[in-house]
Amino acid sequence: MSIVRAVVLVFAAAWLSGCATTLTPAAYRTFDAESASAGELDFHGLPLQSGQLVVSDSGEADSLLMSMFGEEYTPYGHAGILSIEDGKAYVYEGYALLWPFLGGPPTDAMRGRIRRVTLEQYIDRQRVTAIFDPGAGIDKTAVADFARARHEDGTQFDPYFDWRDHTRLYCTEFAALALNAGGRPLPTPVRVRDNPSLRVALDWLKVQAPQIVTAGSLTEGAERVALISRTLSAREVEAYFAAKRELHRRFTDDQKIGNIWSWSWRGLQLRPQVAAFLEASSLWPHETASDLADEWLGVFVQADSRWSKLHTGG
Amino acid sequence: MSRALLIVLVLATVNGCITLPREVARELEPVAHHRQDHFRKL
Repeated sequence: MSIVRAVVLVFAAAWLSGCATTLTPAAYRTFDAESASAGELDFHGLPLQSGQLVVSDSGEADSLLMSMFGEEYTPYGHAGILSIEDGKAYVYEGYALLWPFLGGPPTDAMRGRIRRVTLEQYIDRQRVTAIFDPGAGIDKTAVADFARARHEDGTQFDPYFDWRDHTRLYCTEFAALALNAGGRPLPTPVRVRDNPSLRVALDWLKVQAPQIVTAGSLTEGAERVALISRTLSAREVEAYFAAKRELHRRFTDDQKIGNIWSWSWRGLQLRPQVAAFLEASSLWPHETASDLADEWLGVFVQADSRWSKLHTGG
Repeated sequence: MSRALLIVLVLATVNGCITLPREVARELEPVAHHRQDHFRKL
């Protein structure tokens, strides 16, 4: 369902990637980074090292679904591992294409592997990309070695998002195992939301795993070294993520997925009022996301949690 | 490149025409009553 449109678009991007233009930081509204030091690759001013974690949000309807998937909110829906090879920056990522099919769920028709793309190509697909250093004590060489090995042995993509089976890997599962190869403990998977409406869709997609590894769980304790966005300033990124968090808070178990998304020949779409709210949110301070949602989407007060509304920023 | 674009367009058309199972399509309809919808203003 959601995967359909995303994968078709990604497929198009993959074919067209040969035409990708050279990345020019001046064309981006956010290109924040710490300064590079010895042993790092200076990538347009970004201090990059093999084994760093790359996470991102595409800004598409599908990406919002990934943020809503777990009981805990995560701003980023995708992840990969950075590798510096012959002076160039690459990202290894779990990636799949949707092949033509006539019946059954789209997940049955998805085929993919751990692949390698240039960092430019990766960034070009995303609304927001962040690069994190996994921290002291993590062997980043081992992290990158794991990523390259899974690419070379052709490890398949897992369209069913099953953390219990590591023979096939989805994007954040792959990144979690790579970081674990470098000494970082495996993250605690997040429970998939117990929303009956979401469950109907997941059952159709054959996504039965009770838990999922989110990109948010991978960034805990890691140090962000870069934030990149073509369209949003750093402040706007913060406000945009606060708005997504507010949508997550409002998606209680009594909500239908149709309150947020619709389906058309173009695939999964955001409802107009939700899309407008997200678009407008970046214009306001992140602390006001809940109040802005009350204004745009209607007043919402959780019966037992006034506290949560007051702390939805960031 | 033109061949690639053609393939992409065909795939997009075919896959965009997926008919959802009735139970999934039903969930992708918003609730009728605004009070039960946390994403639509009264």
